[in-house]
Amino acid sequence: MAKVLFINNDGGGFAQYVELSENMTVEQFFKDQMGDVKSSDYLIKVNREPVVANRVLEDNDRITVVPVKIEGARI
Amino acid sequence: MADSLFFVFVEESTMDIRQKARIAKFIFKQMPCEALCDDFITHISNIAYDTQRVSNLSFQRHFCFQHNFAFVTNHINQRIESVLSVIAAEIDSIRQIINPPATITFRDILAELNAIEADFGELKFDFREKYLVIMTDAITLEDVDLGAFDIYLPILADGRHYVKAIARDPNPAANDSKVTHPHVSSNIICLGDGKTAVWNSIRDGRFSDAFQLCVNILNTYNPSSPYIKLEEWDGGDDTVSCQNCDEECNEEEIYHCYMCDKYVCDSCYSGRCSHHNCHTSMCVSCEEKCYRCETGFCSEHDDLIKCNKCEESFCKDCISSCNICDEWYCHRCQALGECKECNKSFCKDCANEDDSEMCENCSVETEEEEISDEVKV
Repeated sequence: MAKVLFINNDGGGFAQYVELSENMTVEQFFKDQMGDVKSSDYLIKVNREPVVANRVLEDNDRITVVPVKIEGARI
Repeated sequence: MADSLFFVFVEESTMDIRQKARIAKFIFKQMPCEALCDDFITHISNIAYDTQRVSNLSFQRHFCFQHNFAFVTNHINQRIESVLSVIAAEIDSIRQIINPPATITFRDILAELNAIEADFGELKFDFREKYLVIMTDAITLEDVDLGAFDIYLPILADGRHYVKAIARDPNPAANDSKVTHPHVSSNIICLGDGKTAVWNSIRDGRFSDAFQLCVNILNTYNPSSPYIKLEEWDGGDDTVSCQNCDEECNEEEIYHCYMCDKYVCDSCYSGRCSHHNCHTSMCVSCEEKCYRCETGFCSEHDDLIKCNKCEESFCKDCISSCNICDEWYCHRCQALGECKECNKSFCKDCANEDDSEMCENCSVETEEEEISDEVKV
């Protein structure tokens, strides 16, 4: 079964391999992994490039998710 | 697929391919070995230390067990268990170092550099300080224009480096020139919620993610924890209303009355108490003034005396007492005369009925003298 490297930069920013179902799109994958959050609040890239929502994922793709709004602070 | 992408990026990039390869090689040589080696040694030392602790605890446990100290034995068992779980976590960390989810290669780093250029334009590298540098677009938060920033991203997550943001055309906070952004002070970004994600990205060689996170942090305002709030960026509203008359005035033109503890404007401020030991700052409401010379006193050092005739208050320089009845009369009322005999002040009530230039005492004495002279004759 095909698998992709998923890097979620929301929170800890961990990386893990995830197995794909057949003809899975970026949109479906995002929903599966991130749950009920808005995709517009994240920058989603596949193989370091911005992609369209209906792009079908392939074996060994690298998906990164970066939140658009991250609150800084003061030391 | 990856190769074709690689060449497309190189053709479009602003940095020379040789330069980029040189940087990638430099980063590749340093980053993984140094970071992994440091982490690995730290975890091994921790395990050695914790194993020694378990060994010491087991001796204590043996002693307590032999002497039937059941309560202490149980306590030591719990401590051993907690140290063992720490050792298990350290072993897990070592496993992650040995089998990372993705091994970083030279090509990965080169792809990262290409991605950074594609996302942010020009990329620079500081070989001496080991920082990757990009420039952001102009940043505006809640109508405050902060300008563009150069983000300096260290290639090593070794705890000795900071993620820096240096303003290109600084618009610092009015009250602190070191604060060029609500979350940047002395050119160092406080990463806040993004701290773990940024450092993990750097550690894993995902520099384009780290840059993206930093840019997103700079484009987000967290009103609950800024160095300086955006609403106070230009120094804030420094007008204050007078607590006496409610007039709006500048902060520099406001005075504090120590008597009523109010902040008052220039017109409601009276000055300082004229008492030689006081000099307290006071407002017009708390001031007692001499009716004639207008010298002010605070209510604690109110040395004013009421005139028996006009009933106004006067300082000691503007009022005198009758030498006979001790009543006070102000100089304005001209109610006191000077006795031609004793030169002392006296009021009209204490004047001689026949001779208004002589006080009652002197007239009595004169009369007595006259009587005694007559008796002698």
